[in-house]
Amino acid sequence: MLENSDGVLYTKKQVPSKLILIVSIVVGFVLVVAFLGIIVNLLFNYNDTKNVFQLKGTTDQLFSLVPHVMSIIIITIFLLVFMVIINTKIKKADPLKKPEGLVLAVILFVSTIDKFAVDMFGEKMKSLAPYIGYLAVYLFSANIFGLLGFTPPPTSNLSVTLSFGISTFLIIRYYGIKFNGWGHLTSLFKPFLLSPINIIGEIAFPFTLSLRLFGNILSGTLIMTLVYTGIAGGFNFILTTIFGSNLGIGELFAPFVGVPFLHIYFDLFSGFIQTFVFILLSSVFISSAAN
Amino acid sequence: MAELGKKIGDLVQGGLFPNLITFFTQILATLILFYFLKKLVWKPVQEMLAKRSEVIVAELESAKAAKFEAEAMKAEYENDLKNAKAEANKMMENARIQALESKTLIIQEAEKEAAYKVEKATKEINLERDKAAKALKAHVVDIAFIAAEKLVHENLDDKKNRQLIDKFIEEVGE
Amino acid sequence: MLDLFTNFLADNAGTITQITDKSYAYLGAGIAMIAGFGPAIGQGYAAGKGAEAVGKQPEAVGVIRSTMLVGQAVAETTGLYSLVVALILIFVA
Repeated sequence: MLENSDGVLYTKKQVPSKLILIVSIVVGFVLVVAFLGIIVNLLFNYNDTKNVFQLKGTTDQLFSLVPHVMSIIIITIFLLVFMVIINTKIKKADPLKKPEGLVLAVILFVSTIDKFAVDMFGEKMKSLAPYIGYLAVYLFSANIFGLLGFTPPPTSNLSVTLSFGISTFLIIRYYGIKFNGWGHLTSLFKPFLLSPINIIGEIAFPFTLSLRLFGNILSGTLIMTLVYTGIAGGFNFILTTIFGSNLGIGELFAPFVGVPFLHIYFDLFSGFIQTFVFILLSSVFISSAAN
Repeated sequence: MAELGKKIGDLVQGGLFPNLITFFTQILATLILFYFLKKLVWKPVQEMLAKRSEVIVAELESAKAAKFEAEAMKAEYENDLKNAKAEANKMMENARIQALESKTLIIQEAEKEAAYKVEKATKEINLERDKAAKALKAHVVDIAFIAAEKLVHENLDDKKNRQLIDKFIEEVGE
Repeated sequence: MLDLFTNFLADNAGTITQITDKSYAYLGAGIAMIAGFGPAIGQGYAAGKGAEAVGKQPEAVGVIRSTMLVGQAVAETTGLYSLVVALILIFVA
């Protein structure tokens, strides 16, 4: 019961909060898509011959728009919404009571990553724990993005994985110089004859790290594409021979011939393992540079 | 087949070629997500954990204090109990000693009384005996008198004779 | 080897329509994928050692499995390099 300016009591209209949430999500999604569409139309020209969006004033492939960008934006928005939900739930939760559901999962995740970071880097670099947590969350959701089937997963793009490799490389150098001073750089030239090999090894690290992730996810995506195309072609051929006309529904038969198991292996399992390996190798190199 | 080639070509060319737009989009997404992950998830969770651990520590401390207090009380009670036991023991010992004392006292008194009574009795007996002996002596004297009177029929000097006979009887009595 | 191949192509020039640089690139891509047998051997070896270790210490199966998977994922890298090289040969060269 609330009181308005005339001092008359009235009942606030009860609107189901779930309906508001769903409507706001749909409206927000439409607005974001419209906004992105406007930005793309302002900044890019559609190239008919290459079938890509090209940044205005350029012709090089370096500045073309690839579908992976859309995946990045979708994942970023999804994770942001998820983080806001988690934040409100945690703020609401009573710290003295036993945590439940999502809050418990988040607390477990955070404490696991914190413990991992402390084990790996020691107490002095505990501030890196959110970076490790970010890598875990983002890389895992990016690796399993192929399950949704709109656009290819972002990690099947070398530019994306290279950005992770470079950021990890910068963190390694930053902490190396912070904790070891110039000795960190001079140690590259310690046996002077071997310095080119040392330097190449150091520079190759972000490339190997990103190529490993990229190659794994891309090969999984490629194999899934091959399987889907093969199944679609085969069933279309069978249907054409039976009904005499191509119905074009061959891909609908994919779930019945073992494709879900391939998805479990190539998307879930491989995605998880590659996330873990990326995090483990990054942490090993960061801690070895810092200590 | 051409369709497959185009699909795979799109995937590979989109992914394999270096692309600055993708690169910078990813860098931007990384910065945004890292900042918000740190601010929206990491900090509240760590605050919550810190609060939890604070409360747990405080509760532990209070429990420890309560335990300490209880232990002190227990020790006090145990001490009291021990004291009480000791006191009871002491009291019992005292009572025993007292009883023993009074027992000996009573025995002594009784012995004394008995001895006194015995003595008294002996005295009485002696007295009676003496009395009896005296009486007997007197009787004997009388009898002797009578006998002598009868024998001699002579009125002797009473006083002088009596002394004589007394002396005689004394000699005899001894 | 390559001479033999070119000679063969030249001999059969009438039947084979066209030989371009792209043909050699496809050939190179196929050859590059031969590298795939290296990681296969390595991963199989790691899996065998993992099985051996589980046989010796069945209680440490969790640690052994995760270590084995990480090692295999790292060993897979050379195969992925060959894949990338093959893809570059097909789509870029």
